[in-house]
Amino acid sequence: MNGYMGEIARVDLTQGKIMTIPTSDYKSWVGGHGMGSAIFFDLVKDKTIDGFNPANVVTIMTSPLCGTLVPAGSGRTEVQGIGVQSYPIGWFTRSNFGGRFSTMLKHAGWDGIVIEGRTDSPVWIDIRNRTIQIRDCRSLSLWGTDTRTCQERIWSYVCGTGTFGDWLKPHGEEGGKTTQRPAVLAIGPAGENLSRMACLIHDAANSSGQGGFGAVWGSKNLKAISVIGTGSINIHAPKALMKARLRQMDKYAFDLDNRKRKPLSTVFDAFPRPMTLWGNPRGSKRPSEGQRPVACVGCHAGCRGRYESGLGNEAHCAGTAFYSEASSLDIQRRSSDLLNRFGVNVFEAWRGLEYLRGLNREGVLGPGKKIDFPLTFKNYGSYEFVEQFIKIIAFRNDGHGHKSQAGDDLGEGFVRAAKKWGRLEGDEGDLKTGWLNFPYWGLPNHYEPRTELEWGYGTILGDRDINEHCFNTIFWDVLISRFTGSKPSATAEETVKIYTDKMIPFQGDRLMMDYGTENMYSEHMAKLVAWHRHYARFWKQSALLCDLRWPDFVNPYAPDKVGSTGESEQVFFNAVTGKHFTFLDGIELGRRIWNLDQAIWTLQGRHRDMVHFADYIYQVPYGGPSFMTSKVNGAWEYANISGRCINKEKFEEFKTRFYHLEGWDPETGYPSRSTLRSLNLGYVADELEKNGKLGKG
Amino acid sequence: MGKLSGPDKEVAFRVLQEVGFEERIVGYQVRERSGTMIKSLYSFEEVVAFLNDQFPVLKFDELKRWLQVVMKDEELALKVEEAVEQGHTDYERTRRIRDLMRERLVQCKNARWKKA
Amino acid sequence: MKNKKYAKQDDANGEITRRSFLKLSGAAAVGMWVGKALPDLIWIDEATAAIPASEGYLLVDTKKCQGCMSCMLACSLVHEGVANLSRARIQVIQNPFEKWPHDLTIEQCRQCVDPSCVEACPVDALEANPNYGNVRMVYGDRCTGCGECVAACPYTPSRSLVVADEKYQNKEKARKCDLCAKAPYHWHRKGGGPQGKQACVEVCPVKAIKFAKEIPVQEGDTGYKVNLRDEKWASLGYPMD
Repeated sequence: MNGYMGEIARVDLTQGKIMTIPTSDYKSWVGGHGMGSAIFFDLVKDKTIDGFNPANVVTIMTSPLCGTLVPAGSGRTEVQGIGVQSYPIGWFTRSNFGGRFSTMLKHAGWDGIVIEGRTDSPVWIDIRNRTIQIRDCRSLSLWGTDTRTCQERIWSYVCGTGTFGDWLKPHGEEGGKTTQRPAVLAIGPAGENLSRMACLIHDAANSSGQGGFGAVWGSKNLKAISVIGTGSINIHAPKALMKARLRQMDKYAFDLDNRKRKPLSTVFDAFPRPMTLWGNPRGSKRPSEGQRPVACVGCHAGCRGRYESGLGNEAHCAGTAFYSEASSLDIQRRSSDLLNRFGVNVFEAWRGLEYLRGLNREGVLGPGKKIDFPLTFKNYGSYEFVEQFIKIIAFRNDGHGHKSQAGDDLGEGFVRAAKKWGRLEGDEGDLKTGWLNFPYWGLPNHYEPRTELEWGYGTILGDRDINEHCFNTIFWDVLISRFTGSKPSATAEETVKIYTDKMIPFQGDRLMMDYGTENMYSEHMAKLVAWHRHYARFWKQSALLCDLRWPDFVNPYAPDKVGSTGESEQVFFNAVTGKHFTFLDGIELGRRIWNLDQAIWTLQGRHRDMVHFADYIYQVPYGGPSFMTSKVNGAWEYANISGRCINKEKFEEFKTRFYHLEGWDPETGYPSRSTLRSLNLGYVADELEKNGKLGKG
Repeated sequence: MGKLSGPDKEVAFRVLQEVGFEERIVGYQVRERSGTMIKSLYSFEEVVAFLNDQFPVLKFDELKRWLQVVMKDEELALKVEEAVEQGHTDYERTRRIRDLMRERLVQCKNARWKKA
Repeated sequence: MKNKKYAKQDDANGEITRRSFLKLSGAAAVGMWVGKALPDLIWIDEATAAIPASEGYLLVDTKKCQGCMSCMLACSLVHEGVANLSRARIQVIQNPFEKWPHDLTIEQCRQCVDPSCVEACPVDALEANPNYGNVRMVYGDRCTGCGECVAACPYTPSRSLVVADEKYQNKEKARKCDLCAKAPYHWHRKGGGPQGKQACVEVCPVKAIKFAKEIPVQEGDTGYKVNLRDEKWASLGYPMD
């Protein structure tokens, strides 16, 4: 099987057993998320268990494209399982990280790893080619270390008497040689202490941030997985892959000799540049020291960096937007390092800190206050402050090693903490006013659901902040243009045409891109949301194309600005695998995966009645900037859609339309047998029926 | 735009203090890929820092009102209004306003030093 | 059998190291010149027949590299039809926690003017191939997989590597960079070698690898680890030096 290694490792921590699953058993799901969902469905019989239950299964999956030359499509790894971060239910969820882990896992001979059970004492998993061992953490004193120390100790151990930079035989005389360090995925103290905001970290800052998987691992006493491999990934058509790569670069990637547009960062033609948002408004912004871009394996335009000072190596995006109130750029960069080393999910920490500060300013939170919280905010802006804050989350105490009830509360996540503190009660509850800006499933606001509809709808109909920037470029391109007085990359009409032409099988329905208030609950909008779910579930989360570079809709280098999405994905996929897979096949498979996920959530307890945003989304108009495509008086424009709420009743109508479109029972939101059968998921329908959760139809 | 005349005592005092919870001003911190985040600003200096960001979004009429009512700085409020009218883009407007407010901040800090 | 005459280089402690470099003596200075025309044959000493210099070299910019390892994947892809970092004839080695520029190095074959690997091969399976611009190449049919070339390479990691070769019933064979001269999966009709295209050069997204015809300075790294950055690169916020 070209692109595949043939087996998935299955590690039972309770029994201390290593088994294998033939990849061919799940080949219809292709890889990544699809395989992860299918394996989870099969292995976890009781889907209502809590994420901390040892029976929770965590899958870490590659795709056939990992470790190949697919540009921005070779370096990602998909993590799935029952999460512990979302509220009120820890949904079966996903997270994804970059770097070199998936490549190394495939070189070792594995298409993925499945973790189940729990050990009595902390362990790490040592994978060297086809040999997998569960090792006690004590010999390397790993438990209690930060993610950097943990990785460095494992590297040294695996390297043995060799030297990095030389050919090593990590597997003794049996295996091949490599110059590479093991690829390690680890938890920090946050995961060890079961903080619901704990994440998994690989290398300096590649993080599987959402879902609280750090805590899930912590509950299993799993500290790290290390993998080193020397094997080969078979490619169906090496020449075709090389040609496709070079052609894609030539026609669609950045060209420093021919710059086309102002530097957007979530596009295929982005420059290789650290996507840092360090922006200490008080002083300098981007570090002016020596640095390089850093890319995941095979990527054409790195989005990270490494620096002469070493501060904040590889940190990017939200991990660098955090703590912009730091009194110096250096402090802000060190805070990025703290997050990564302690293994704390930046997004919730960042948004939540703003909330805590507001409560402190209101006079209700602080040492000795109504919410007796150990942070004073008197030293806000200092390194000591942010270190204490991150340690509160990581250690669930006062940040100085002493017990603190409020600190422990915060380890449950901001919404659960707010609830415990009585902040969600009554008409002035923080989720009614928006003071706690966490609009969906107890998770922080990322892109505004009241305006960027595919984001908000996709999130509330799913399991987590979708974090899929497919249509988001419209938001940024236009916002920046409006702010600076420059032109966006394409007119509204061009944008709508290019996007909707590519959105097969719904192509041609231009109103899918009308974000205006009149259209926001329509069937057209339902199609946009559905298409987005299906595209992302397959092409981004199963084939594992990177969210920051795909899809390629509007590309200024292309004729008529028509980007390569719809054409290039299948070219690369087929060059690697030898299949005759079309873009539409991918969308259809994405629909199948999305249906399986909905079935899992249904079994977890989801009903349409609980699919609702926090109250403030319905009550408080969004006052920030937002310009999205909309048809106004018969003409397409980038309309200002700020200042509105979502209408709760009309949202109910939207849900009904969406469920109809997906072929789910509109009364409940449950998938129906006819739909599942049409997707070869009859066995899923059987399980839903057994649990009284099969939708009608 | 003309320079600001020196602040009076009350303005100088208010500019250098943090404001109470109810007197805060709210903007939107807009960071690419990280969305928009509502930012509560609790001092004049924080507003200046906020305006130094890449895409700071602050309602100009609210800022004017805040300067008049909370900071009691009528002169600056009128200069801000002028800057809004003269600017062609929000980028220009926020930069002009930032520069004006920075100037006032420096004046107030210098006044404090002299007093000391 | 060639006269295996190794010039010895004293290390800092005065010991003779196992891997040696050519010591300049009364013979013509070799490779110290850059950009000057040199005769086809360079006499090392009066007794030893010269090995013709390669007509092509890879130069790398280790400060520019983004660590994507596309060069490594492309190398294994065009030579062996698979993606395998361990089969790449160019190696990028990194430490994500280290400070720039010490966090990363690129180790490419230097097509040495005085190739220790060629001299070390006991069965003449490693030669300067006149059909491909004197690129130092392995003849798989002759190679016995003894590993002498690996041991002889003065650089770390060794530029030559010995692995089981499917084409030879999994017998161990040496591999090394041949500037894509004999890459069976080469994507371009021109092929590789000094007259053609090298996979690593073409695929590098940031142009941190360059093909050059002039013989680089042989001593130290300055001839091979060069600055390929310009103002356009600097405009992205990167240092020029």
